[in-house]
Amino acid sequence: MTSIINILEKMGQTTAFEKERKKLSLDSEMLELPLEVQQALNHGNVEQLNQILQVRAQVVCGLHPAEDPDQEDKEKDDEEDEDNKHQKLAQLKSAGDKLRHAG
Amino acid sequence: MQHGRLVCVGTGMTLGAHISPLSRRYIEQADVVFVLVADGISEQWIESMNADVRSLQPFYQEGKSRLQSYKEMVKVMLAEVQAGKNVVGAFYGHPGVFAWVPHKAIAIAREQGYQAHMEPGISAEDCLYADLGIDPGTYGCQHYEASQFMFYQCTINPSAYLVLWQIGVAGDKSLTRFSTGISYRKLLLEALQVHYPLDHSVILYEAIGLPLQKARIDCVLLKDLPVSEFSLKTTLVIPPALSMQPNREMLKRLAMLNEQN
Ligand SMILES: C[S@@+](CC[C@H](N)C(=O)[O-])C[C@H]1O[C@@H](n2cnc3c(N)ncnc32)[C@H](O)[C@@H]1O
Repeated sequence: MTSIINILEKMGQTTAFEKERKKLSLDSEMLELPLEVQQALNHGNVEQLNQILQVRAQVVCGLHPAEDPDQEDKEKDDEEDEDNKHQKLAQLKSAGDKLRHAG
Repeated sequence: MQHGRLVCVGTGMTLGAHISPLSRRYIEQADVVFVLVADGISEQWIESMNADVRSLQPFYQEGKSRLQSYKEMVKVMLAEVQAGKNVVGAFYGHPGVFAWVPHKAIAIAREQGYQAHMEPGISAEDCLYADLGIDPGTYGCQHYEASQFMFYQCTINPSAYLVLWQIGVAGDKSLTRFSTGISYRKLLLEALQVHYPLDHSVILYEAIGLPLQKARIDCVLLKDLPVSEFSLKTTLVIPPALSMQPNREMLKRLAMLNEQN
């Protein structure tokens, strides 16, 4: 089925001038394809082409998180550092209290 | 320098029309190509250029955090670099525009002592300037990821264009959805209403992906945003609502400077 991809690639490289002149080398190449493919191409029927080419129809194209994950990781680390600091302070305080009571 | 190299290339927006000759050659000459494009047919087009093309699509799953998917994509590309291969990441549009994965993969590869770089591509932004007849230099142009615009207090200049990306998943804090509904967009509208009148015309834009399609250029009123149709490919373009306000103080000082010189 590479020929359909070739045709699509050539369509992508066809200038408006060529389209106006209506003399596309593509036209003759298209005629060699099965009728259903020609129809799908002519009507811009992407769903049908997806089926013919057996490609995935559901495609996700997001690539970008709204919040910077590196910044979030850093903030988490900072929070953990802060928690550790509080824990250590609490430990020191209770150790100090114990010493004072013992004394 | 370690053996193994990473190049992230852009395939452009429209199949066949936008890919640069250099990006294409990188894809053809790579030991392994990882691909993430916006439709299945374009994926097959990239597959026709190299014998070892691996899709990054399986990393996405509805209900799974996209961030997790992104991190896995980075990891799988780097594993091949670490194995000493010439690796290409082929991403639709420009690989560095609203695209965390390629930037991150390149940064880590470099940190680990591998050669890594990016080859630009034609992005949705480039297409919208051409299709909508907008020049970012006329009034200025701000770009935000739509959710980021909602999560943070962004300083918006209503005299400039505002472009919101990933509008189809606006407000999804969990990063697990492939679309967000009307209630999310109502909140987005609230945030926009602070800067723009409700009857302001905005544009829902989708550049041509396959050469048999037409670009989507739908003008809607801001107030109709919640009930408008969005896909993952839709970009929201908000034209200026206010004329540019002269900075009189600065103009006065510049005039004085001119007189002195
Ligand atoms: C993760 S970003 C990737 C952008 C891509 N790297 C580029 O260079 O255009 C995905 C967002 O790009 C925008 N986008 C993707 N395809 C588009 C298209 N065909 N037309 C307009 N915008 C598109 C949408 O805002 C979409 O949510």
